[in-house]
Amino acid sequence: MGTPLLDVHNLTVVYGRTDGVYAVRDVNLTLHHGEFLGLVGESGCGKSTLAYAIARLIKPPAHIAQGTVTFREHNLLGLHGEALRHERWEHLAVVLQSGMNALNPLMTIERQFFDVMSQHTRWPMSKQRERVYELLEMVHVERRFASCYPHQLSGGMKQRVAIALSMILEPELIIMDEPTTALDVVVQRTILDNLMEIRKAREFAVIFVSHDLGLVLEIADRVAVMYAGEIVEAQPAEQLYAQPLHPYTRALLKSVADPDDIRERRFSGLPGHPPDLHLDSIGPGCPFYPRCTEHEDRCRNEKPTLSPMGPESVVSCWIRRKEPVDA
Amino acid sequence: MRYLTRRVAFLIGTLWVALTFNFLIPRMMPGSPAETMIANFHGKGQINPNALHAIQIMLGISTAPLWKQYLQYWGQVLQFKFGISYTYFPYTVTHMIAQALPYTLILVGACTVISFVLGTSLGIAAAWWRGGRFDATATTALNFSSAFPYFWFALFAAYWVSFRFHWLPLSGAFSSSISPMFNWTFVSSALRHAILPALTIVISSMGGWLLGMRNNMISTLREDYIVLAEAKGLRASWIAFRYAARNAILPNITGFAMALGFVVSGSLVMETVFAYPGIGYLLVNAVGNEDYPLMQGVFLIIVLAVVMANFVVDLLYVFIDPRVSNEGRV
Repeated sequence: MGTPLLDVHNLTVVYGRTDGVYAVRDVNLTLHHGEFLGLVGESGCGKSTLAYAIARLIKPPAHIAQGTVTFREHNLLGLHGEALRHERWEHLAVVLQSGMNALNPLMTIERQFFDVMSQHTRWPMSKQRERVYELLEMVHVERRFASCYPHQLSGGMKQRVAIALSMILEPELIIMDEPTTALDVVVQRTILDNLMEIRKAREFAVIFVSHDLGLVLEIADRVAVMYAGEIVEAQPAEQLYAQPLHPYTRALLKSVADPDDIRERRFSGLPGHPPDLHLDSIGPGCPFYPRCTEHEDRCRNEKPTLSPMGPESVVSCWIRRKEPVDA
Repeated sequence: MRYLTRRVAFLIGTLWVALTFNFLIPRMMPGSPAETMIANFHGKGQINPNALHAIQIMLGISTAPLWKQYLQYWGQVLQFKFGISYTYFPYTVTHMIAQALPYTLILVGACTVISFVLGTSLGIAAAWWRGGRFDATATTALNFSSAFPYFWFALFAAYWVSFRFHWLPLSGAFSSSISPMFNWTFVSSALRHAILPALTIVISSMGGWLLGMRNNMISTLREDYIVLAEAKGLRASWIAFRYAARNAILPNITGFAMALGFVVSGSLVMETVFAYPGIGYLLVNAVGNEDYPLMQGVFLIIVLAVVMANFVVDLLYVFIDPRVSNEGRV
């Protein structure tokens, strides 16, 4: 596979002081060129915080307490000023959760494309304009909307524009934070189909943050499951669907509706709440222990670490580690 | 276009209501101007009914029924003629206003502009470096200065700066030894007389602009489009001005246009403290002397200015906020 595009090592993000909320804890993650990684978990599990931390968009009181982010073989966390400014959008772009609010309401759509191009490239105006039309066409938004203001577009269109915006400079990585969450399922579907269609034409890696495991399983190459600020399992999508390892992933899968075999799978919810992530309320054992149906004594007192379970699978669970790995 | 028609209709409606009130209110006040005048001329004593009648005729006080007076009033309004001032007899109201207006417009107008520009710029800086040393110093200092009552602050400044240390003239708009003519002696004297009133107004009103701008901009800075602008790798100055300040300034623009409307009414307290011969001073005298025609004249131009300022804001908004006129739907 060669050197990874992105390598996150022991990343910890804390809100407030050192005794504050540990939203992301010791996360390790690698992403290869052109790979589509789905990052799933319930609300408050730290998935958005992780995505923001990678994109260097963490704002006080949150801060990166520990860890490194290596992107394109250099330390992303060490970049400042102009170097960071050029890294942004030229190599790493983001699509925010609410495309509706991610566009400046007082600027026309095209101007929000132009300012990126005029501050990152030396393209003449004619080329910039051409590029806007090309990108809008790619996300199936008509040209005439280029000179409109965001309030004149529908929610779905705004989200498409936000995706088009992220691709102006053809970055190697696009971080998408719940890009379709605020939209209804039909619009969501067309946008995702559109995204997959674009990905066929050009190669770029994606970190797709979502709480919708069913959706992520369908579009991602690999899926990482987060719980209580940690990655508890990561596997290729089909493998995760066929053979989920972590008890949490299994519980999540039971809550996913699959129209094809809705009769075969039985739905069930996951009782309990995600744990409080304040430093003093984090116990010594597995964070999932209180909600886990398979736990044993060891889970209460000793924290499992993320360990390989196969060529491309990792899980942090004492129970699973004892079981023989399937060939 | 529909937006414009609606605004114009609204403007006319507002003017009609405001001007009708302007007609009614002085007539509902107790007391009679003629009696006040005689009292002023002769001190206490019996008033001869004939003399009273003569004065009423001289001043043009109408005894006609109210509806007739109302029609007459509209005739006057449309011609900008409000008769003779009781206080400044035999000058007309129009003459008195024309004399006072330039002082107020120049002094209070300039102060309003300076205060808005300075306060808003400092507000942008304070919001951008929020929580920093500049924010702490400027915001606290201006909060403090805009918290004292203006009359107290103005008297304090007049006492120390003018009365005790004689650094600047104490009162008036120009030195009493010269007459208002457009030459250097007069202009320099007028400028020297304007410094202290101007400073007191700017210092006490700048804090409001700073706080308004700072608070709006801080909430704007939390918007997703600011995060995205940062993620886009745009220059910090571009984000600060084109994204944050540009979007946060809208309420301040409204406030500014309104303040410009109120410039015409002068600054009542400032003009009283510094005996500055502007509209505010005129109005205080008119009220003190039950000078109805003068009051009506002054109120009329204040109303006109405020209503027009509102109208201009409405029109301006079409250009500065595309969301206002929702006709551009494609």
